Amino acid sequence: MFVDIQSLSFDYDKHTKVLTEFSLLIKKGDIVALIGRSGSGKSTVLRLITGLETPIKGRITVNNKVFFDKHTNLPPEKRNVGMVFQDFALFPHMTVKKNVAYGLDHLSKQKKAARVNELLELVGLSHKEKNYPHQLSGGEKQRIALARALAPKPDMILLDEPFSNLDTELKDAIRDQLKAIIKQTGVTCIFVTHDLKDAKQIADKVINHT
Amino acid sequence: MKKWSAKFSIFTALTLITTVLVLLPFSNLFFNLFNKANDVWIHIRTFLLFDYIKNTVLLLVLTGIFSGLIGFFSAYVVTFYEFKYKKLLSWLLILPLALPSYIAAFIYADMFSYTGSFARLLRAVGIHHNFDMMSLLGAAVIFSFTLYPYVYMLVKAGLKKHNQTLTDSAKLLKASPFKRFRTLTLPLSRPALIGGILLVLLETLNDYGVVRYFGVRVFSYAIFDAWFRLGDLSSAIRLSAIVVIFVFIIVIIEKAFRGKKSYNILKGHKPLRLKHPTKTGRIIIYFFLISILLIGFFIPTIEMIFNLFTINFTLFSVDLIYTILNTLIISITATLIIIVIALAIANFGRFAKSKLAKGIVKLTTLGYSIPGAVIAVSVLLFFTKVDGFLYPLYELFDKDTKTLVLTTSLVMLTFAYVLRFLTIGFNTIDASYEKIGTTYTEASYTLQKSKLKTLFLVDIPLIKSGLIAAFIIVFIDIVKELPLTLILRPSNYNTLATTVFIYARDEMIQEASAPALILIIITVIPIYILTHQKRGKNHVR
Ligand SMILES: Nc1ncnc2c1ncn2[C@@H]1O[C@H](COP(=O)(O)OP(=O)(O)O)[C@@H](O)[C@H]1O
Ligand SMILES: [Mg+2]
Repeated sequence: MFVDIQSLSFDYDKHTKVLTEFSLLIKKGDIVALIGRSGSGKSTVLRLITGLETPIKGRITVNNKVFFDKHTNLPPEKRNVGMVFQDFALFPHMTVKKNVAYGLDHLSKQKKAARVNELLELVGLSHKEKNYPHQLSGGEKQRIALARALAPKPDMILLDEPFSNLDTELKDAIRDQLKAIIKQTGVTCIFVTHDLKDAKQIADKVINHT
Repeated sequence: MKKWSAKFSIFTALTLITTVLVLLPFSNLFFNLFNKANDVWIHIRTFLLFDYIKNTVLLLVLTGIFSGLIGFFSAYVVTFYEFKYKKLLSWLLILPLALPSYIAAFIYADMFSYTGSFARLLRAVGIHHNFDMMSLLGAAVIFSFTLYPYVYMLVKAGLKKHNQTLTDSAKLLKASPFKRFRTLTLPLSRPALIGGILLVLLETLNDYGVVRYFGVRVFSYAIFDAWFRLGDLSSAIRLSAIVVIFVFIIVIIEKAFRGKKSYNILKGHKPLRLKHPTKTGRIIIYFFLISILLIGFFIPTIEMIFNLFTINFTLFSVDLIYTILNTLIISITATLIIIVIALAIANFGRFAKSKLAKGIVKLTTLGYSIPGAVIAVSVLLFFTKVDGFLYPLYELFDKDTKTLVLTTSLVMLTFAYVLRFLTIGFNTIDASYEKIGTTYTEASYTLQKSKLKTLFLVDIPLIKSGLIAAFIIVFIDIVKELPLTLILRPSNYNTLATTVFIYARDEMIQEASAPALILIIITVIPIYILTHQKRGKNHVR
């Protein structure tokens, strides 16, 4: 399996168990929705996959690369997993262009510029490249955050409640747009939501997390 | 081990090294406590200790009350009332921070002495009464008028969170103005008020210049007295231990008084409606604020300027220029070291989850609550040990090396500054990290950036104004610092603070004026920059 998570356990402190023996298998290129009520530990699953939290036990491998097991614990920057945060976390002191280019240090200047253009076109926001995050609407911020996460060509991309910070009227359009963008890149994706409608409309597979 | 592989970083390393370096001198001090008591200690314990305790408590209580009243009401007035020159006055009220308490003490003692300007003025108008400035009460007044800005700044920041909706609902419930003050304003600003008073008291305990000059026998006086006059380090150590117990009691009282965590008030979007005072009200307000400013800053400063003209004193002698350079160089160096370490500890702390890690952060930054006299004793003992330990190494390089290499160098003084002021740098930086949260940093990690790169590309730009504030606050504190500098400086090395103190001690108040004024200018400029800092164009959130 492309993503292989086995018997993962985790808690933030001794008193509350957040995850016990959590397992998850995902095929390459699938979009998986992780659905569950608030506080059930969905965000925590994403943070464990990116390496922002360290499990107590278990095993995570992605694309045959071991992220975590008894012997290894790769730091986040070595995992090649993109993440779109719930509040987007666009760097406020950088332009849209700088934000998207942020993860592309390994490329030459020309290649970097080309990749940034490619992604801004993909999300349809080329005309905003010189703007700062505070000059963007919620939907635009989300697409830039997605572009930034996709830019380094990650093995997998994670989205935490991608629609929670958006107005409801916009949601239908954005939902389709998001699905189109992700499908076009063919990247494997997990997204977290508490809305079954979102999950069904976008995902190839819906996992109930309780 | 695997857990560490991802977590261990330069931040962790720097934090742990600092922890060890902080803990060693203090634990060394406490081990020395178990040496057998000698005659000097028995003498101190029998005849002096009670007075030391009584005076210290009295000084702290008086200073706490006065500074609390001055700081609270000045903050209250500038927050809730509208009047002309309010903006100017509200920043001027911070200025007394630039005037070290010991300088105010020398000047006022001189003015109130029989031949002093104030005493002559009183006699000229027919008042033949001699105010004894050089007393415990005098010291409490000096501390209150020079240190109240700590209370003022914290309470002002606390009162800003007030919102009109709360006051309005209280009015609808027919609460009288006094009841509103007692049930709303006071409880809501209590954490800030108590926190501010705590800072004032820690500064008061730290002071050596004022109490030494006024002959007020409190603990820092006692420690130096035992150490230098009676020549007994071991008694100084015992006294230091008692002071540390004092500090713990104060900190515990503060926790109890402050109550539970600071209240989380709904962010009031409705700005405060300011009160317009009546004519009498305005007169009272101006009288109150201007008196504070005159006593806390302008009278001593102007008196010093006059002093300059009464003697043939060149403002810039060669010696003085060296002293200024010494002050700037060591202050900037120590401040930079503090900022780097504080950044590392803040980074270590904000992602730490374990109680152990949080405890380490607390321990490492406890220096500020330890009075300078105690730090001086600890650091000196510690460096003598280190020099003894490193002696074989010195011999390797130089056959006729002296035994005390580090102890006689500026390394020791710089180390002591870092120990004491790391807390201030850390708290300021940590507060700005708290404001930006952790997601930007985490986002950077998921974009394949290392911790160090993230620090420079994301963290530092986002907390830049906090870093500048930390730099300025620590710098000002070090420039003003007296007890550590006095004890731990190499021989013939002077900063502005020690120069002022030595002139004043030798009753050369006029000569002390030039370095004192320069010291004030060096601290006023950064305070001005700090209070007039422009908010960056890219607002965070
Ligand atoms: N940093 C943290 N420290 C302590 N507890 C946390 C932290 N983050 C989340 N939790 C707790 O862990 C549980 C799962 O949180 P989370 O993964 O954010 O849930 P979800 O995303 O499904 O709403 C919740 O009970 C939450 O209170
Ligand atoms: Mg969540």
